[in-house]
Amino acid sequence: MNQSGKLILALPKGRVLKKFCTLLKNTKFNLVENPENTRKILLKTKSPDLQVLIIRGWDVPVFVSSGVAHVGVVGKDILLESNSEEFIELMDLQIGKCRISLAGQSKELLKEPRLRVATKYTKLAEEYLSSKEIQPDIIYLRGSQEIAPSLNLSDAIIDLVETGRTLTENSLVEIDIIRNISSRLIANKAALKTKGDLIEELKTELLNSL
Amino acid sequence: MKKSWNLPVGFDEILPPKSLKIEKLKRVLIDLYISSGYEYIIPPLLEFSETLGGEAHEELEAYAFSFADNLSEKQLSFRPDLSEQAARIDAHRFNTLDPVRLCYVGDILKKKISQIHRSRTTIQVGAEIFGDPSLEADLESMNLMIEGLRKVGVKEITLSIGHAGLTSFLFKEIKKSSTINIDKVESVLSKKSESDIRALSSEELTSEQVNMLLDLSKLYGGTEVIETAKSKLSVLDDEIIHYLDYLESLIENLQLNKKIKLHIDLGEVYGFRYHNGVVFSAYIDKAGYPLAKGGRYDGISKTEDLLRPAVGFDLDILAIAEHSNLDLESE
Repeated sequence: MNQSGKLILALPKGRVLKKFCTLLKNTKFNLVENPENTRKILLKTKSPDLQVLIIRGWDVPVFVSSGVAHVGVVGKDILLESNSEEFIELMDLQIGKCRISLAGQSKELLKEPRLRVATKYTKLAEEYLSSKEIQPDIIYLRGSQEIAPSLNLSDAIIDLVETGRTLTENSLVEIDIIRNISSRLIANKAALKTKGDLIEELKTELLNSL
Repeated sequence: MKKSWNLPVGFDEILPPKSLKIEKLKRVLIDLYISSGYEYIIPPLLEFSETLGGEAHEELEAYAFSFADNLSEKQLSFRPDLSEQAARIDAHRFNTLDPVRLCYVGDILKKKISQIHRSRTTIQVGAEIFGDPSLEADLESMNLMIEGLRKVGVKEITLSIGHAGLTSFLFKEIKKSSTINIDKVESVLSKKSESDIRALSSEELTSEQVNMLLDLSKLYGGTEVIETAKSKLSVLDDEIIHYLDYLESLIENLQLNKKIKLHIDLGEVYGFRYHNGVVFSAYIDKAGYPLAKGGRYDGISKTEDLLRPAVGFDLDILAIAEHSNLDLESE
């Protein structure tokens, strides 16, 4: 198949970036520069066919949906919040593993008919609470959700939990695991058609280094 | 007080030279369709919301921008798509059972903003064949779509082909045994997410149905995909085999220019879901979205007991204007 143009891969800043760079290390797409030592946003790899874009995780679906980036790495938590139909999920990268949970000061909260929940996952929170037949009252917070119940801003929170330490230190208990989360490789639907061979090559290289 | 001339979100003014280019694109394409035997129609901007879209009413109404009309005291909708209007015009205004070929150009408006184009409007130009169920009509429609794109200077096209019958068959089977909302299944399949598809097994879907969804989600790539489907699909009903054989002969008979790349996607779920036969779309390397889309949508009621076959396509002129090398001075 004829391939033209480079592939742009959007990666999220933070701890997943570090883990993903380790995956790339043994592939032909290893980064030329260490992203930790540069402020450049678009980085070269050893392959002329792939460039890497370092952006915030929440922006990865936006870049990939628009086709500006052809592939991206993003947490399933963010994908669950995205309404875009313009990308597909290519593979589970098995990194960035954690869970998204309901937490609060008492395990009995699930018996309440209505809950005020502080979260940045508003769509997921509404779907989850409705499925439990609890009237949702969602309070959107960008961060520090863990403090909301003790200050009576909310009854509970829905957030990512890795070890549970942050919950414990803020006197919260994990009430229900809503979903296990990991990072996914996503691809723009149009790019999958026009640059399919290159995307498959990247996927195979990553699968081999998992 | 200073007046603000800002426009509502999702709307734009198009100025020279782009405005002229768009006008030329429309003319070149409509001239091509007319010279290929298609009759030009001008469908209305507005329709009564209760009858919008005919057979595809529910689906189109969800996309349509609607408002209360003081004059008729009814709810009106701005058209979100022209091909369904052309289908209605064929069914109710052309008093013949012979094949009818129609072409059109016009603005469309949707109530939601497109995340890609940051717009609620575009200009659609298209051509439809009614009353011809043959493979030749499908080929004619696909070839005309490609010819139009090439004529307006769109280069290095990837033609993606699928068959809406495959997904429709599966959705029909799921509806028989489960109360799950099919929109949810469509959305999961559309994203080809293995974990989300597997999660459907907890929602009354049989393992056979989940496996079929998983198979469909992976069946994309070159033409070899059809052969793989025949050997791999867990449910190989006669209907499925018929769709795969049909796609095979369609591809055999497609006499594409060598520069056109072919992509097969058997699990693709298209934007408007009224298609029930072959579906096709055109992409280029530089755009993260299709420039043209089409397919077969048999079953529009011509008379009470006669369902009319239909196939056609439309092009997004505003998207094409971004990528066309049409020379403004050449005409």
